[in-house]
Amino acid sequence: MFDIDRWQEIWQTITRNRWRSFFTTMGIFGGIIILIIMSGISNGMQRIIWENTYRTVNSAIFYPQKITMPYKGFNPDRTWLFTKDDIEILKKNIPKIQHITGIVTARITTASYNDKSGNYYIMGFTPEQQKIEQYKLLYGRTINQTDIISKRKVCILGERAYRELFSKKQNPIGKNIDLGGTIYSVIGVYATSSNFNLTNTDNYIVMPSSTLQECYNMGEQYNQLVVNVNNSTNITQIETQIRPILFSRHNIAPNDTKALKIFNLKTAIDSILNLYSGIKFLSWLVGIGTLFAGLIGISNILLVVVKERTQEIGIRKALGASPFSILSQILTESFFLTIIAGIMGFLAGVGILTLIDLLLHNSGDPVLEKASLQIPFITAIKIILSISFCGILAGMPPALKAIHANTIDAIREE
Amino acid sequence: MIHVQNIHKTYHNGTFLHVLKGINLTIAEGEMVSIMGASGSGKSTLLNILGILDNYDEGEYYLNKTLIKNLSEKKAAEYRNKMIGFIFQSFNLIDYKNAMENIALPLYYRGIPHKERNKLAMEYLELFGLKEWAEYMPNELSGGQKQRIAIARALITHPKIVLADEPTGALDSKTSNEVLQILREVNKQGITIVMVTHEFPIAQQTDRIIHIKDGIIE
Repeated sequence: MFDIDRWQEIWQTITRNRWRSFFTTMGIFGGIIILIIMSGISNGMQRIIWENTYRTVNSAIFYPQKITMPYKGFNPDRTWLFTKDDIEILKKNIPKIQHITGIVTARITTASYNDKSGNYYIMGFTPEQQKIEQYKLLYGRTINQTDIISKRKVCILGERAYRELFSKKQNPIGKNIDLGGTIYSVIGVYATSSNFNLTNTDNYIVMPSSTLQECYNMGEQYNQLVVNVNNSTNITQIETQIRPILFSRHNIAPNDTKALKIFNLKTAIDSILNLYSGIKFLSWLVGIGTLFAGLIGISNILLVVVKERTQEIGIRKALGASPFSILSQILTESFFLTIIAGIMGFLAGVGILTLIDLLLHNSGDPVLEKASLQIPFITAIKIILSISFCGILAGMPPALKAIHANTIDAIREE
Repeated sequence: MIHVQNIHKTYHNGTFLHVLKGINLTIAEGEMVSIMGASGSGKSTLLNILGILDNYDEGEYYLNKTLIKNLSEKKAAEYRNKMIGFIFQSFNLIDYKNAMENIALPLYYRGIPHKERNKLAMEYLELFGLKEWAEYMPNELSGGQKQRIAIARALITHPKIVLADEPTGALDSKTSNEVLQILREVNKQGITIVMVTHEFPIAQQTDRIIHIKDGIIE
């Protein structure tokens, strides 16, 4: 029941004891601000990791193998490759596919620049490849549509080729390298690939898929197929949908499991999930530690406050206050103060997080720019409520002690 | 008005302390008595019991023909509010409430609305000649003024008895006499007054002096 008189009494006690109220509030304010910031940062870290890995991780790569079974009058021991039509049809039939593209591979080739040379694998990429893998570049750009259409003689160096053919910090963009007797112009350099890339570029020199296809006279065929789905889709489920379509198009027996090798980064996903739970656990640990420290602070303050009020409690008792009404008044006061402090701490904490966000967005770092250090509203409410509740619980024993003390002696004490 | 029969009280904090060893006491309606005794004699324990602030182990205590024994905390608070007014040595006003609010506080615990409470408090302030000090905080008032406000606070609920714990202990002799005069006036209106004091001249001005020593009335 809402009782205006009761609230006036509580409000008066709070506002006329400004310093006491202030210190009580500050203790809780500090605890909550730290908790909010900590959980905001750990949330943000989780999101950074997630957004920078999950997209590429939720992909699979398909390798055609030698067909081992006869089927529909075809002999075994045939070899097969993916075609441009395969890609179009898979895209059309499985709407959950976000990106799909082919990779052309070639044998090891000798590359040379000035007096330096080395042997590297050669790969042909389409622009889609970058959308799936999101390779980081040290210099220049990746393959674009014009490169594909005009079959340009351009290449992107992997980390090793750049290191071996060029001197440190030398900008190779526009330089011409000799690749198996043909001159290619360097348009970019890949940074070292991460564990979350399906295709590691470190030992490769990459050129437009169409250029490589022409080189080897292989038409519009691909040696590998890369498929990427959105975060909510299970990649292994998509794999089982892709296999029968490919098999029927290439006249492969449905049970010829050896004819197609599929690889995805399930293990990488698992390791990310592990990293996740690690960070979560760590932030929990820190959170609980902070909460605990905050609680001790609050309990201390409430203890001092109640002790200071022993005399007042005695007077109120003598004037006809029931112990329950005194206790409920003290608890309501503390609860009110802690909630106010909690909301203030919440606002300040979110303010600081927003400020950090702003700084990150202007930092120029491609990863941190997209970072967002915020916490779910519900989490904030839980933090505030638990801290308030526990704080009050801590204030209860001294309050009870004060109420049951020898009243006349308590009042006499100066 | 007050009838105490063979009351015993023992405190158990670590050791047993037998404070009251069979108190027998009768105070008639409209009487003004003083209780005297050295510190540790059991005065304050007796006052706690008479004021329904503490229980006793043995015996019986009748206040206005009601047996006060093993009451629930709620009932005890109700009786205190209705039947007893307290006055203390150090006035014990609540320091963050002004004069009027201090006087009105017992009515808050009786559930009387804010406006009515303050109106009644103002009447008492006027009665005690303190109308102009209604908005003053206790630390802005003199000792005599504070004690008059404390008395007004004790009387606002129309109690049957007033329990005064060294009401003049913190006052100079002139102010002490003024306060005593007020208490006399109050007593004349039929309110029973029990006063604990160690000043003999003050005690002498009451109807009867009760000496307490080692937990027994002499």
